[in-house]
Amino acid sequence: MSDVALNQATRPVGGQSLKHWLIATFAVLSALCLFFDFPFTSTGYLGTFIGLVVVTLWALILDVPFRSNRSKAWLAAASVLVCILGLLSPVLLGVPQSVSDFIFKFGTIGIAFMLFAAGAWNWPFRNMMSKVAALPMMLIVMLGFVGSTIWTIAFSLTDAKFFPIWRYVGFNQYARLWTTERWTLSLENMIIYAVCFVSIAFVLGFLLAVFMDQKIRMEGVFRTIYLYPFALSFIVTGHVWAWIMNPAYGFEHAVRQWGWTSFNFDWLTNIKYSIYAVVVAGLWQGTGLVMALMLAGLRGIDDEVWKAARIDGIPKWRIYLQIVLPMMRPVLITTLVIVASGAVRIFDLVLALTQGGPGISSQVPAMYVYEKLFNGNLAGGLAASTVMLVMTSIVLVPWVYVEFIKGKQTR
Amino acid sequence: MKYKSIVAALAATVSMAFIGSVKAADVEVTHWWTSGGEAAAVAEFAKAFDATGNKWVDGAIAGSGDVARPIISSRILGGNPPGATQFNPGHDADEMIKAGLMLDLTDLAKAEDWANILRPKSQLDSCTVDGRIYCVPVNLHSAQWMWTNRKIFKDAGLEPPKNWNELIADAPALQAKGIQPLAVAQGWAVTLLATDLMVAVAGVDNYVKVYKDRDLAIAAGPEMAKVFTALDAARKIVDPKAVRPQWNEAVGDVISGKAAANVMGDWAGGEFQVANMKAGEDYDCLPGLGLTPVLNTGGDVFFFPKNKDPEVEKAQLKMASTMVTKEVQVAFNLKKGSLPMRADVDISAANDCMKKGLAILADAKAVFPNDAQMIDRDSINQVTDILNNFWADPSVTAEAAQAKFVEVIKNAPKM
Repeated sequence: MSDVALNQATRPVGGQSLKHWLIATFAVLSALCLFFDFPFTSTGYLGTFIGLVVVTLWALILDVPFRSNRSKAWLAAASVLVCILGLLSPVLLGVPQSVSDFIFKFGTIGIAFMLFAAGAWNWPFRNMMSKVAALPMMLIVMLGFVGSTIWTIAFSLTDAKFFPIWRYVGFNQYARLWTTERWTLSLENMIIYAVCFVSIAFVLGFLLAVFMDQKIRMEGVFRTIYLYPFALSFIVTGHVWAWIMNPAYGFEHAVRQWGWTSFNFDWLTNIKYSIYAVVVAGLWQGTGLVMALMLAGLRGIDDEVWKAARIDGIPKWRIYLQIVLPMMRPVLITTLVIVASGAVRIFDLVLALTQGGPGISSQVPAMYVYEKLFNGNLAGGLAASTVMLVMTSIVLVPWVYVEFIKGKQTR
Repeated sequence: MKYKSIVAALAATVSMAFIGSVKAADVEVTHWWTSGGEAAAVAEFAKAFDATGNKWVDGAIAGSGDVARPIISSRILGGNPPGATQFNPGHDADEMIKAGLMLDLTDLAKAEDWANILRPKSQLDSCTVDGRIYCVPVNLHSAQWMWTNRKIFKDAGLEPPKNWNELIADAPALQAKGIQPLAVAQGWAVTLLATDLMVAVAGVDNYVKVYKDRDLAIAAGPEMAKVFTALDAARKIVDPKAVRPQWNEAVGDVISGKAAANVMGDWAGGEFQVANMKAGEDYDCLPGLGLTPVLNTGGDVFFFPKNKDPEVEKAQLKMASTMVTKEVQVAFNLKKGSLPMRADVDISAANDCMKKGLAILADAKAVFPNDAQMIDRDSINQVTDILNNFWADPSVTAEAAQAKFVEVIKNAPKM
């Protein structure tokens, strides 16, 4: 029996009672979320946010047919506007917090009501089994990813210290963030690190992969040697390089003892170069991975391509550069995403290597966020992490759009 | 009849449970005491607590308070609290207390009369929120000390300095001999040096006015400018390559003779103690950098995060009580290099530095609060960033650093 037939067969009897039961549970849960204070919040904001997210996403993911009843869709949109008005009313209209709370809750209930009226509650019962199977994933996405993101953005608009207590202050935290020298310097460092690390790792990794591709002897040994650093954690890498690059007892000290007394290698203790010291350690750790991925890409190129190119008499370097490299585009993009996301969230390497010093010269955003989150400036940390999220999205969203959405349409 | 026997059985079970509750509990203690002197001191606590039949489970976090505080707070907030934890007196735990996450020690404090046996008053005050006591102060630390290695100066043909200004004057002669005049650690140690200079150069009154009353005129004024000029002079005599990551490594440089002096709190005394050096003979300790003999009332306190298990709670109260007994106070503070909380203990075993400290402590005017008791942690961290940037980057002028400092004081929330 097919899935649809099974649903239709059971729907009149079991489906009805189950449906009523689910609706009742959902209504009770929403009410609890809406009107009882969630732990750690003085108002029900956390609850209302999560309720809002769950209801809206439920409707969006399940593709509720708003178009079948346009007036209801308009009412839902109006409720969303009421919610936003509720959020911004302390700033725009100067009303007390309790009034804005009420407006916001009112709007949320409006949305929930309209969605039910639009038939959202009836929708789950088509292909119910597949939806039940997808439910855990959907809950994780809604609460874990979308819910937490919205929570983060919401509380970045407060002046929360150790606990997420709702005291709305508008965009103060952001204004403060951009006047903090350590934050702007951290961003600068992250960009320097990402650009240097990604470009050098790509060039070196590709050259190493090409070298490995020459059918050399003992390839397995070399591959292991190059990939081995990747098996070490950033903490170990950071400490080892901190010893190597420490001018008092590391490389500089050794060379000076060999007789070259004017030798200077003080990147670790020089504020101008400390972030490049981090790049060096990062490259040592990460180039092997780039090489392995590139090598896999090279091995994926059909031998026929090589034979054809050779018959045409094209020199080897041009085959690599102009034929093989463009054919490796999927591998290059995968590698770029892995390596670039690693560069954006760089944290432990800096902590082990320089502790962000000397001074604040090698601080990175992730360290800033961590310190603020757990050292009595929660909202400041959330604001910083929101900025990081937005910046990553600015880079990733156009790429995702071109690569996956637009590309699919034209192909 | 049957009903009664069931009740009897239940009553027996309950009383069994009560008998069971006399047994000892394991208490995990988180702290950031990891240097040689500190580890020796914390072992005294563990020994005394284990003697009560309970078990001290050590949860030391290496690094410093800046590393350990986020870890400890996130554990408490996340619902996996340690049984007891070190903090510094101040406002770090205020919100956690208000959220009801910390064990109320008021009854124990009343029973043992802490208000009268522990001094100075400021320490117990910073444990008190809305009239209830939530932590136990275990020692007094002051940060205004300069430590010098006498042998280094004598070998260089110099008289060991009596104060900060003499050290600066001696710097060129020491540098000519290949010795660093001043050993420095990065991070909060730079803030400590700057704060000590504020107190010594600008005076205690101005320091308290800036931090507590947020007096911007003084923060931006000529007295504070002198402090930044002094810090500017200090950064010029320190080789950036020799800046150490940890404070105890900087103290180690003074002990081993690589560096002549270090500015650090009295906890550095523990390191000299472990190295078997004698105060007044091998090394000098100069309170208030030798300029103004004053001390602040930093120190350490212990909080006991609330625990569901009543046995653990009993053990927590027992630990709080053990920490302030006379014997434990003496044993702990001698190893730690700090001053005991009680005035009524025998300190004949104390070294010269501790005696100097106790003498200053007896003069109420020479004692002042530390920064964490006057301003929030976030602002302290921001000042640390500014000072470290100033310290490491020669292109930042003293005026620019002072302007940024004023900005932080201006924006700090009222306490």
